[in-house]
Parts: sequence; structure tokens; C-alpha cells
Amino acid sequence: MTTLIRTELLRLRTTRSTWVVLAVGLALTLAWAAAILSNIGGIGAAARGSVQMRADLLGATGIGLFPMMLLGTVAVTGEFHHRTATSTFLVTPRRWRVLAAKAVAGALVGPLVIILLLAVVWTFGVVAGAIQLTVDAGLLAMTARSIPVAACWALLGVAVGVAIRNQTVAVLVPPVWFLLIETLLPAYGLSALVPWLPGGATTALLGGRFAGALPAWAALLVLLAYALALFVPGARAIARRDIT
Amino acid sequence: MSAISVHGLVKRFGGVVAVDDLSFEVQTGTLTGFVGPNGAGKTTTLRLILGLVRPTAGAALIGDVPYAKLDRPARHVGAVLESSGFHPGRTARDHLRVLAGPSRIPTSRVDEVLSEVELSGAASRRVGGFSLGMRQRLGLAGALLGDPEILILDEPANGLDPAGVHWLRSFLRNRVDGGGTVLVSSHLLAELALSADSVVIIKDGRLIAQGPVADITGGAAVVRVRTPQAEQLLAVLAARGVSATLDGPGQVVASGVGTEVVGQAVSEAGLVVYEMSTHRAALEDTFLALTEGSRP
Repeated sequence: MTTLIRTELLRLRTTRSTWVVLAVGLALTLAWAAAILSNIGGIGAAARGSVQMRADLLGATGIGLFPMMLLGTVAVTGEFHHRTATSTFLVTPRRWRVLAAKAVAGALVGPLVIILLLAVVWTFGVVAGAIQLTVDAGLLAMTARSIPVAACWALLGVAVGVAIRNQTVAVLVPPVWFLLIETLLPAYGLSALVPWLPGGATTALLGGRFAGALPAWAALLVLLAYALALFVPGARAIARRDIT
Repeated sequence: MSAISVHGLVKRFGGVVAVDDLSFEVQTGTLTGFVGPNGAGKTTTLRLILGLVRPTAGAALIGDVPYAKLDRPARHVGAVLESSGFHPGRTARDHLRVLAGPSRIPTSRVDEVLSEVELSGAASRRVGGFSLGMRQRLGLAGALLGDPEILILDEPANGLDPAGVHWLRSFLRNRVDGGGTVLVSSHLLAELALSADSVVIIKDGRLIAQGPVADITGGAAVVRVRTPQAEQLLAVLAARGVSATLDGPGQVVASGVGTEVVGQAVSEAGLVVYEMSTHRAALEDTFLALTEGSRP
């Protein structure tokens, strides 16, 4: 299994799209952070050097979660899109092991990427004079909460790819879900559902407070449950599928 | 023992029967051609053998186990199935490294196979820019990674220029002479007639014929003799019970015998002969005859 995981990491490293996606994630995060910085002094903006400013800036990495999820999704759908599934499953006929290795590889890469993004944004904020150059418990707690979120999002990405397989659809589903459907639910009086949805669970796991937010451990379980619920039936279908 | 054996294999896609109760064997140490018209079920059969497609009924075995049960299959069977199975953004070398990973094949072997298929110069180029012929070679390199005893190739000559086809033919011949087994599919029999030891012919998913090339075309062998004494030769052959006919002035065609018998007769009768040759019905003709009626 370690060999397969190592192979999946190699596969990620040697694909140009991986680096393009990560660069886009970094650019989005920095753009978001820049928007927050330019709003200092505006209405409702946190004060320069405040703990809230730091939280807002580091929260900008949230937008970087989408590219991370995309990496996981494309790791699976790309196999069908580029028809590499044939050679992949020839070398490893136990298909579910390949898919599991992709999930584990995603869960390893996700935290690394989020730590990188947090470090870049933090440095950006410090250089811009918006964040104090201190490492305290609050900062460490934020980082610690980001790590499982990043792992879960990468896992969810793989699971979405396994469940959907069609690259175009699989890539579009997460943004539509998180940015549109889950955002609109409260407007239809369905706020009670939010804590149990992936976006609500992510916010709760990151320490965000809202009505009915689950405790962090429960939010983590909810995210893992979504990933499993997508992964298991999808993987079973792929294992039985004719690769033509 | 046979290297590959197919037992009562059936594959239905929805209502379409792609492979219909197919059984055949590929003997170890032979180059076997797998031929049939387009749409005969060749690709599906190869994918069934390789565990990529699940049979509706029957089984395909590598040695005595199904492909999916092999431990590190790349070390036993190498397959080249289609030219499009590459991530265009990955380099040739990285593509092979990814394939080598799960079988724990070292990177040094990647460089070896690249040079074996004469692609070393393109090792760090992205596959997206490769020609069809280069992709075929890269596919072959991937199949060779584990130095497998069995090679399975689906229409490998597609996209190769004549020099490439020649190169491939001698390459496969060398593998077989070195003790390997090769199963190669083609819709063009002429490509295989020169090099294959044995052929399996299918049509509409069913077996039409299987056996050594000579056996399949064998019955139709004739000896053609050019001689100024055609009438005498006819009489001599008739006296020996050999059926022979006059085919134009100075041309005798004897059927059902080899050059040995005709040569002996010529010598004993003291006749003059300018030319004598064996004509086997071309494999292509046999193939067309066997699969007749497949065209609309």
C-alpha cells in the first residue's frame, strides 16, 4: 500500500496541472488577503494588528481549499479523462487499492498545502503591517484546525471524483454546492440543516460560530462521513466497471 | 503449458454479444497472431484476458491464474492496448516512472526500456507532443518495464511507418526467440504472415480457426514449374499419381505435393527445368475466405 501511495504522490508531482492548480490556489488566497488589507479602516473591518485581523487574513486561505479539492477530484477523473485508467489498473488490478491510495495521498498533500498557504498569508500580513509578529496559542490553534479541514477537503475531492468520474461534472459540483446551494439554504428557511452539511461542518471545524454549529470532533466526523458515503459506492462501481 | 488460455469466454455489452463462447490457447514461446475483421471482438477479448473487462461467462487465464490474481502482473505480462492512454502533461520518463512504481521497478529500468524502444532522446519531452508512432513506442516501453515473459499487443502497427513496422516485427521476433510469448492482434494479416508462428482467427466474437500458420494455409500449397518440356512433365507426374495441370505455355502446376516429389520426378525423367517454386495460398486469402460474409 505504501508503494501505491508513493506512486500516487509521484503522479501528482509529475503532472503540470498539479502545479497550475496550486498556483491558482495561492493567487486566489493572496487576492483575497489583499482585498481584506485594502479594506482596513472601512466599515466593519477589523483593526490593524488586532487578533480579528489575523483571523480574517488567515481565513483567506479558505478559498485555497477549492483548488485543493480539485486536485483530489482530477487525480481520479483524469484517469478516465486521459484514459490512463487502463495502464493504471493493468499494473494494479485491485482497483480499490489504487483509489484508496489516491485518497491517502490527497489527505497527506492537503495539510502540506494549507500550511504553506497559511505561512504565505501570515508573512504577507506581517510585511504589510496588519499582523503582529507574534506566535501565540491562538495562531497555533488556527493552524491546527486547518490541517484536518485541508485533509478532509482533499479526501472529499477524491471521493467526488470516484463518485462522479466525469471530469467536467465532478469539477463543477463542489463550487456549485458550497458557493451556491449551501449559501442559499438559509434563505429558504433551511438553516437547521447547515450544521450537518459539508460547508457548515467545515466552518464549525475551523472554529467559526453560528447557530447550531457542531463541536469540532462531530464536524470532523460529518466531513469524513460525506467522503466515505461518496467514496465507497463509487469505488465499488469502478471496481466492477469495464475499462474499455 | 499454454501461456494464455481462453475458456468459453462470453461478453455481452447490453444486448450486443461482443465475444461469443470463445476458446483458444497461446502456446508458450510462440508469436501468435490474433486476427479478425474490424469489430470482430479482438480488443474486447484482449481486455477480458487482462482483467479490464469482466466476462459475462467463461474465463481467461495467464498460465493457470486469472490476470487479476497475478502478483505484480507487470512482471509477468506486458500489454500495449491503445495509443491514447497517456497524460499529455507528463514526460515520457515520468509516465514510465508512474507505471513502474507499484511493481517496485527501479528508475534505472525506465531508462533501459526507453533506449530499447529508441525513445531516449525524447525522455524528458511531454507526451502531449508525441506522434502516434512515438506513443506506440512509449506504450511498448511501458509493457517491457517488468521484463515480462508474455507480451500482449493490440494493433501495435497502427501509426507506425513501414520502417517502424519492420522494426516492431524483428523486435517481437527477438522476444520470442529469447523464450518469450507474444500475442498480437491485427486486422491486417499480411503484417503477421511473415512473423507469426500461429494464428487465432475470430469473427463476430467466435473462433473461426486456430493453429500454426502453415496448417491454416497448408492445404492449398502448390508447386509451380517452368519448363520447356511441359507435356513430358505432365505425363511423368501423372504416372506417379500426382495431379498436375498445364497453366499456360511451359508452366506446370502440381498440387498436393512438395518440391521434393516434383524434383525427384524431374531428375529421374531427365527433364530440363528453368524454375520451380512453392506457392502457399497467401494467409490474407485464407483469412478472407474464412471470414467471408462479414462485409455488408
